[in-house]
Amino acid sequence: MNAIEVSGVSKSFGDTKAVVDVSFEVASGEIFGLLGPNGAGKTTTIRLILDIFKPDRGSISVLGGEMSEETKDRIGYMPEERGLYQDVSLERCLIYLARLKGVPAGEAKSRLQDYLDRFDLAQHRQKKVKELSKGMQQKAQIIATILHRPDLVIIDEPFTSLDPINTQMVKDLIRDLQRDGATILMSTHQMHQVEQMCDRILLINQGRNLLYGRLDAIRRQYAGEEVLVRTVEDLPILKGVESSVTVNGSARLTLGPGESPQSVLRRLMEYDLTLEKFEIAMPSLAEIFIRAVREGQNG
Amino acid sequence: MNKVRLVAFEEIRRAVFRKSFIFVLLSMPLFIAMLVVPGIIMESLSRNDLPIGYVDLSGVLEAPRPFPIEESDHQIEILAFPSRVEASAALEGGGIQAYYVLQADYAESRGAELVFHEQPSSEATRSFYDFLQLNLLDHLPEEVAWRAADRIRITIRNPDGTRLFPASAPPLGSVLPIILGLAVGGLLITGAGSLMSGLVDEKSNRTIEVLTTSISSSRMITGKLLGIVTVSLIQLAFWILIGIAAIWLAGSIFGVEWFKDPIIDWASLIAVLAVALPSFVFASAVMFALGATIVDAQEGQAIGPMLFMVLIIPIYALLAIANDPHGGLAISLSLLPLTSILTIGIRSMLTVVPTWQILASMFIQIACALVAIWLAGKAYRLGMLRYGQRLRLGEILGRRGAKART
Amino acid sequence: MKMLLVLKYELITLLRKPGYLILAFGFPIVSLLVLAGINLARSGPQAQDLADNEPQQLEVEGFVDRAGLIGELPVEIPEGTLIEFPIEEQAREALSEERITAYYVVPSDYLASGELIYVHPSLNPLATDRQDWIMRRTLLFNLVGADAELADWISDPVALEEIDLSALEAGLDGDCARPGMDCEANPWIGRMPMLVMVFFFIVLTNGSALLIRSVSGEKQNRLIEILASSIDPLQLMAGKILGLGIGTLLGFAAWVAAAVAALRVSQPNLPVEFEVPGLLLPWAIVFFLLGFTLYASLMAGIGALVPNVKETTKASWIVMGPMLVGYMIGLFSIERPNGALMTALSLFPVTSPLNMVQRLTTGQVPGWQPVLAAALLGAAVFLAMKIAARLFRAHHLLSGQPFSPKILIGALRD
Repeated sequence: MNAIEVSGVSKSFGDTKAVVDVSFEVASGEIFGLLGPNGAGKTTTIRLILDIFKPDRGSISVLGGEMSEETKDRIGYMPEERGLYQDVSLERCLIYLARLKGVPAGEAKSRLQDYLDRFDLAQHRQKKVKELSKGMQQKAQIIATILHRPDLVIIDEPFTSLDPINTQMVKDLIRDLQRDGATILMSTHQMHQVEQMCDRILLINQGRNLLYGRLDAIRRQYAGEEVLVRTVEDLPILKGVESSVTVNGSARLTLGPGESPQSVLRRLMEYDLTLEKFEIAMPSLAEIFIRAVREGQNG
Repeated sequence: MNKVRLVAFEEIRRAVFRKSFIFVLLSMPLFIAMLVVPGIIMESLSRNDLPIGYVDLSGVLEAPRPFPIEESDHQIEILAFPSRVEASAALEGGGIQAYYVLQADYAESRGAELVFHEQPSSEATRSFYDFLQLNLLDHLPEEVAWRAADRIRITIRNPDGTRLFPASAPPLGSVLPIILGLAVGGLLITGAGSLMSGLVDEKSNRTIEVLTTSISSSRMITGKLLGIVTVSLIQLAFWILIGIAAIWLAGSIFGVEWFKDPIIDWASLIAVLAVALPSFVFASAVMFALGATIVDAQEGQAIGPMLFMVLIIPIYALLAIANDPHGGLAISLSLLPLTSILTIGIRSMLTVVPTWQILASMFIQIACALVAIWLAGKAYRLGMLRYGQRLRLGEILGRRGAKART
Repeated sequence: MKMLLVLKYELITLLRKPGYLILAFGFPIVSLLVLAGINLARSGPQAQDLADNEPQQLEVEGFVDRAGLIGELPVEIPEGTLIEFPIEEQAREALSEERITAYYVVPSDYLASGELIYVHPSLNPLATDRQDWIMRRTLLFNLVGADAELADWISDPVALEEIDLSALEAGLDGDCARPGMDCEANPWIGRMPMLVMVFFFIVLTNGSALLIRSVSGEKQNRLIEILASSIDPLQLMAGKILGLGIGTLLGFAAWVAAAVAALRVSQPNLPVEFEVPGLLLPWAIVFFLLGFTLYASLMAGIGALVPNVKETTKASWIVMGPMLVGYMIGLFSIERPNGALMTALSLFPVTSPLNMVQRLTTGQVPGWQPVLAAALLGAAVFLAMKIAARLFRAHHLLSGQPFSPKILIGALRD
């Protein structure tokens, strides 16, 4: 069963087309990355999923149906613009937000105790939120997102303005949540952060689907245009190689059109060189993205 | 010095060169107009110029003596009715506002009735009383009778003869120092308030971090204070122009007696300004310090009203000051910061404030302002980059606490 | 129901705010205590005796008669309290030596001008220790030819009986049977309609301002997006209006209770015939509830367009402006609360919560008028809620644009 199904969704604000015909599915239990540069329409897509905005066209199904109050209770959402009530105590603020998600008061209280211990906030529970440090407020924000044990967690730009320690904490937390059976949708423009984490991704640009599928498959699709070679002898100039850059002692060869790594390997063998390394270079998501955008513009 | 000027100009530019400054300029005149115009309209709407009637059953008013010619146009018209029936018909028909009935035994008992639907206006009752008194004295020469009937107008004068105070209302010239004091007080609240909210803004959007790394705190404060004082002076000048125009309009065009040819007491006006300007700097510096220590704008909004309360203490104490304009209370309020502005205005209306007191007050205000600027500088250095935490006074004053925290 | 959660949260947060507690409960309680204290002190037997028995202490004053009018002093003026000085120099000297406390100058043109000069070290025209009646009496006495009886007659020419036909028709007994300016004997009864109106103004403006601040506060704190993913915006708005409304109502009740108690405490000072119009309280509650809902919905709706608390003051003028007109006119109409303009304002929905209650306090409003006003107000509340719902939408709540009338118009259109 899919946690989220988005099909053919469009949304405009006045003359601005924020999202155009976007479709994707998020399977239950996976970590899904919604990627794209700033202004690509990621936040709008999320708000459409959350029923904060209504789509102009297309349909959205979340946790097996249309959005309802009950469905909202099963979703944890951490928006890009973080915020909490500044003038009330940390405890009251978090319990209120959890109760809005349908958690009974007593349970919210006992769960909160666990999380406050885990995040080292227990001794600050009675402090007003505005008296907490920035890092503590971020932790509190995370607790607010997951205190009601959501089945689906949506995080918009999870790593914005997090320090390395908190970044790692959020990554661990996302994995923990997945292990406990939650589905995670995260959106970001910091692609290197999600490369290691996501099972599948949707790359959008200017509100449109650009790339969609399993991350490893996409990578393979864009691989094969570069190889990493290290030889004992100097590398001769090879036919079919457009350029060569030395990176960490290896040569990174960019292949010309119509060439494949196999043909390059074959040619290298003809020179009878001592080959220490021959590896197909997997492109980074950022590189894939840049290429996909360029191809999209040319095509 | 260059940077101070830069900060000052930036403050001025931010306050003056925008559309909303027009509203700021017009706010006070509009506010006053909003108070005055509905009053005038309501006054003229509710004015009742209908005649007042009477039925004389006693014969006292047989062949009545009319009002003296020169007085008659100030009076409400008085109509005689032969009997209650006619008077009652006139009242029901809306021809008169009310009618008096002098009982048959009026000459012995003074018994009379006043019949009305709505209380007649005070002008109407006064006219009738004047009329009645005039006729009770018809054996006296008109001038004497009228003097006995009409009310005595008392003008109070202080012993040295420097101030006159008609019992009805003080003359415009005597009120001007108070109005000036109020105007500067208003500016002080808005100006200092906007200085503070600007600071809280800069703090919340973190511009302050850039600023602190570019300019020293004392220059920053000097610049901002200069800016705000300039802006307020522009406002004050504009308000004074509007005031002059309003006085001219009311006196020369609408012919309101009170506004005609005011005698302006320059010495008092200058005294008020001499005290008000350093007070302004003092209040701004205090607000600056508060802005540097206060966490969010909402808390800041509560400060303005508190400042206002202190400023208008002299108004609460008006009676006490007026009873003894050279008493201990009057003098101490003249010397204290903030209260001095209005106290000196009020006292100027009643008496001549001794020059030494004005000078002393001025020096006290300047000293207070300097201390406040110094405090503001410390508060700014300590508090500016601290978000979400309140700065305690002890920390500003003491060294140790400050070091422990930074 | 999540709306109830919002309601509870808003109410509890409000009840914990010191500012609210002081304004809503502290102030009425303190004023009641002060009033009770004053009353206790005043009703003490010793205080009563003192006030009755103390003879009025007369100061010694002087006069200079340049008009030559004063031949003799009336007999009722105690010997030595009014001393004639032939020239002002001597009077001034006597004043500076404190032999007299003040002196009068009767100008030579007194008969024509009627101006009397009173030289006094304190210029306060409101001072209570003035005894200028002595000089007035002296002047009058001499003007009428030293005839004491005639002077009495002139200074008090009628023993008046007032016949208020309107009050008779309404079956009221005397001027002070109902609150209103007809009652000259008691300034509190006279100004009661105005005080009630001012009180409504304070409560309604403060109460509805809570809404705009609460909503824009959530915008400013970036909470609105989390809230929007947890609860339907309209439920959020309804919860807020109800929660803050109950808070305002509690304050309102505390004030009314304090006012009623104050009236009870100071009962001895009230004229016997005085009674508060019977229908005032039920109508006041109706107009309070409707008025609050009207202003609160509008404030909540506008709050959705205001990105931070600082800008709320500016934005709330849109709601406060019309209310303020009613308030100002109400203030200036205390003499004639039933004139045409006041009647119109008390029927017009935006101003009726203030001006109708003001008029109802006088107890002289035809029965159909509050009914019509309440119906019109009800319709306006319905409309206001529709407008508020239109403004209280996700994309307005999530936008950070500064508030301007242009944005408001745009939001109302789409």
